[in-house]
Amino acid sequence: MPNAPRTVKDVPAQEFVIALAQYFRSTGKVRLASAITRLPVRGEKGDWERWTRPPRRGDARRRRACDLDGLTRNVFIRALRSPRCDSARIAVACGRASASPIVAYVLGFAGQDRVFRGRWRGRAPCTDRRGSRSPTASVYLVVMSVFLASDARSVPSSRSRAPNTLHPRVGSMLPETFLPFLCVFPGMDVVSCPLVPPPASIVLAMNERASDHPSPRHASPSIRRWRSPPGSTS
Amino acid sequence: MEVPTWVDIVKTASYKELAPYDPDWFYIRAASMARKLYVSGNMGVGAFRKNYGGARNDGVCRFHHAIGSGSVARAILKQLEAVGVVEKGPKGRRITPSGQRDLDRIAGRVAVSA
Repeated sequence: MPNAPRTVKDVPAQEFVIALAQYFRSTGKVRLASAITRLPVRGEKGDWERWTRPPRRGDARRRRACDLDGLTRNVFIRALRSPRCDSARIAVACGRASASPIVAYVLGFAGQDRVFRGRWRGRAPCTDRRGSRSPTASVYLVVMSVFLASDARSVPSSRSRAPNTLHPRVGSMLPETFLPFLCVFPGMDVVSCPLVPPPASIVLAMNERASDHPSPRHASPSIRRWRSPPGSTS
Repeated sequence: MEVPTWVDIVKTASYKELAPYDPDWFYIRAASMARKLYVSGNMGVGAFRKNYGGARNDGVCRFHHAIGSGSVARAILKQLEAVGVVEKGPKGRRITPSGQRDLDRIAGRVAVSA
């Protein structure tokens, strides 16, 4: 066989690269961390205890000890930035540990074309119903549903003037894919899993246009099923 | 080869607008870098950044070349070094004799399958 290739240079680059990639993949071990699996679950040590520790008095003054706003923003926006994984719709319910009314907020979501722009909708997550920030506020975070980022990409943007920009719309997402998943933050107590699909009011609150102007009107009675953290007086 | 945990949250260059769609993009890039080292040899992170750069979309302005991610290139070079495909040379990385043998063997397999 005079034309038999003997070196890499004799083979087309694309075919060789694909073959070599398959070889690498077969010999290696994959350790992918998706946005969902990276979140702490019960049983994990380390961050779990730190996150579930009830907030103490003065935590807000101790820098980064109980910075709920920064914590939620950093951790979850970072988790949601996963560009190839499914994006998640997240509702944030927060209120004082001693106050029963809970206001639902929309954290926003990151579609594939908004990979590095996790948006924060609504007021600060650790405000109580009256809007005042409280260091003892409990932040409740629930992953409501997930949708494929590719689905989000199929929706053309109506707000951007760029012709090729796609914009994920919450309102167009079907709400049937709810996750039996719960995430816990300081002062939060897990009540029951899995979560049931939220009522229509929550879905309405998740709508992007409605959440542009968050108000206590969007509070959902279903979230009140959550028990207050230990030590609270409610 | 061990894939880093951050492969699903990174773009491959700062000028990119999206992350790669292919879930195995890390392997593909590693294979491509290994081939480049085989063909050219003596390439470092800077050279790979230039190689895997591209045209930055500046909107209404002209496209300009922008370099690729150095972190990705560095991580892949470390991985290739760990599996014995490349080694450090006087001017960047170069392919090892065993790596060259492996790549030739895979090339022969590609030719046979084709």
